[in-house]
Amino acid sequence: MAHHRPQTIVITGASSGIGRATALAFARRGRALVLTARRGEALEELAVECRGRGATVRVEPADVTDADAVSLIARRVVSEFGWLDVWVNNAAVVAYGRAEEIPAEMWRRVVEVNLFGTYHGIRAALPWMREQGSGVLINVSSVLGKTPSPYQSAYVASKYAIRAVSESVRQEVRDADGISVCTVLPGAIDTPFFRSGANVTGRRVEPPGPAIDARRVASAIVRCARRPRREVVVGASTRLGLLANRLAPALTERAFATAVERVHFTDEPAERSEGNLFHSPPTGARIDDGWPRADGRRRGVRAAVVGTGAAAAAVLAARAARTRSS
Amino acid sequence: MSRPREVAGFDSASAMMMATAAFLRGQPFPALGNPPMLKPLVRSTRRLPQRAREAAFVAGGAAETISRRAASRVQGERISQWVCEEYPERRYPAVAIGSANGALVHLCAALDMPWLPQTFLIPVRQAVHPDDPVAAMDKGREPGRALVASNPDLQLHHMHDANQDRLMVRALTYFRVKRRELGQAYERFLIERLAPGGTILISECRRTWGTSALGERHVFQHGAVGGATEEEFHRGSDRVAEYLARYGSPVRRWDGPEPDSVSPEAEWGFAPALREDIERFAREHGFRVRRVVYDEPASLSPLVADLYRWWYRQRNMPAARLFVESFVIVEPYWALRTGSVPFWMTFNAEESLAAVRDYLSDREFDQIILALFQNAVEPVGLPGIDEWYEVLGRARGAGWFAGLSPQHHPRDMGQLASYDDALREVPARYPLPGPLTMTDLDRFLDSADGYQGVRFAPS
Repeated sequence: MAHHRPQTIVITGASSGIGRATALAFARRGRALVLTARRGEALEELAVECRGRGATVRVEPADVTDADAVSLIARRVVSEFGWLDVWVNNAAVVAYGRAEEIPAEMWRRVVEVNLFGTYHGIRAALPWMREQGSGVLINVSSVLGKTPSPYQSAYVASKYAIRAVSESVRQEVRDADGISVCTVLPGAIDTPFFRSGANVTGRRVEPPGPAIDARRVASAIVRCARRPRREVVVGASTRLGLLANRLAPALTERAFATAVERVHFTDEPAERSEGNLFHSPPTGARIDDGWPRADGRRRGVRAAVVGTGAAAAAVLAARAARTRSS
Repeated sequence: MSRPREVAGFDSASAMMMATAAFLRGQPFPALGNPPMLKPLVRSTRRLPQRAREAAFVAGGAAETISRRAASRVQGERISQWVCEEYPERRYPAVAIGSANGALVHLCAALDMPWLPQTFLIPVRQAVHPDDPVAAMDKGREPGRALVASNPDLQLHHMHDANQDRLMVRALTYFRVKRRELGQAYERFLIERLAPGGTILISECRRTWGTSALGERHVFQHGAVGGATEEEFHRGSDRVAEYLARYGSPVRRWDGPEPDSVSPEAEWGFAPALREDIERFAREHGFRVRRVVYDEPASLSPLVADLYRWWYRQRNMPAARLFVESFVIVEPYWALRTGSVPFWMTFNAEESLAAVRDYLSDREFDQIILALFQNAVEPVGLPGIDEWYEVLGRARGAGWFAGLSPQHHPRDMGQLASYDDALREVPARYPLPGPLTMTDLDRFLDSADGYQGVRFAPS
């Protein structure tokens, strides 16, 4: 049966960034892609590109905060393709600002899109995966799902929560051998994300260090679909940061706060903006945004800030541990 | 404690009780509880010629018989003790007691409720011509009298069915005993395992049959539920004559004893004496009593199937697969693990076909899986395999037989060792849910329009 039907993959937040790169990475003959995001036109444009690579594509414009709409997508997918192999919960937004300064509706919206969007995807996909006895759920969290960061508490909270939900659901599907739940933890990725987020800090936002090519995250997601893993970290500096956080959480928290203050927020002023929180922008339906890369193509001065800070934190932590034990 | 020698494992009550107990232990009930290692052997009977397959079927039943003399040594309490020990040692919110039926097994699974049967089959070795019910009755008199004498809390329904049980009654006769009182073992079970203030659900099937009284607490029942009607057993019919001719019988109608009484049907009917004892016991120990009273053994099936659909939908499950079971084929564990809606049929006869058709007349399922019991006989009222294919064709997606080799129906003994694999091979996997409560059941019943021939009532 598996040889005669297309592998069916649903990707939320597919219009730009990691979602778009993931759609293109999956796109090939023998696969059916279901692309969802708020921007129907951007999805149609992406669909043409995916079809050009041989994939069958269905475009399903929806807001992931609408549980019924997301469930309907799953039902339509099964009705059309007969199967649901992979569901990638990727849609995410961000709002920059101190917790006490950011409007409550913005904070709530970030959690609704990121966390509830993921939950709605899980809730829509799992019944069908249980029914067919197999399937892979891939939830895109973030390095900020394991390490804190200032000025984006809603985003960090949602990404921590996505990881937590993934772990809980993974425990819940232990009785179904064919169902896997993966969490992907990317670091700073070169996408329009930093420019499209809501911002009430008054300062322009940049990636907190060298950005990773979104296609690397997409490759990791595709690999997860083929051979599911519990948790996948994308980027060497991301791994280093997570290691530091594990070894010396208090120190890393302070080091990260300093690093983020210095490199994530520039001195250039930025107008107060809701970004794409409530309305999707007409532009920005692309993968890259031209940020300095960690892959050596556009090295910048800040290229190693996060990694270095993390490494320093690790060294200090190790030293502190030795001092305590001597 | 293993199953007492005198109790038939192939019988409805013992198989259903063992399936219920297996579920409450968190286990499936494969191959009717027979050792899995025997499955290849049973399946290999498909390669045998028809007569040999029939002989194998009879041999299976004959292996479980007891001698006529041993009938006097039957102890109802030992059977009850075995039942009680089948269930895990813990407290239950409710306990069902009474008539058997497959839908009740699924109700028990849903409510985390053990079921203590009222009726058991004691297969006694006895060779008679299947079409001579009077001889069968007469031969059973003495062992029956001895059994009744040594078990004052049991009543005996000696049953002879030359239609469905044509092969078996050549080798054994069916002594069905019904408890008139709870007895020590059941009472102890209720005291130790039923939660304080818990509910005793009395399962009361109102099916009766014309019988001949042979003594105190001892009746003879000519015929049984399934295929031929009671009237046909007593008065004959064209199709009875055709059936007897087809099997080379010297008679064209059965000349049984004239019924002089009406009794609870031997296999399925509820003997009301037990209810009085349950009510007395419940009063003394502060338990609630609830009755589910139904006209026919399969009357509960649509209700329980709809309860599962309701339950599955509450759990955000598709509830789009129907698992149709028949007679002793009941599998509550895999029904829940695969998210299948269980619909139980009394047998593989025309009433069962009509029941499942009626259920499907206003309900749709993507998949229908049909486990058709095999009894190696083509009796009066056996629908053709094409009619069952028609039922499978009602699935929106696909319908298939569970482990049946259709060309061998109704003599595919291999099916009895394959139906469970067919259900397990359904790829869907759902977790075993927490049980429903009596309040949930009431909520469901309140939301439903009522079910013909079924009544839930306080005692």
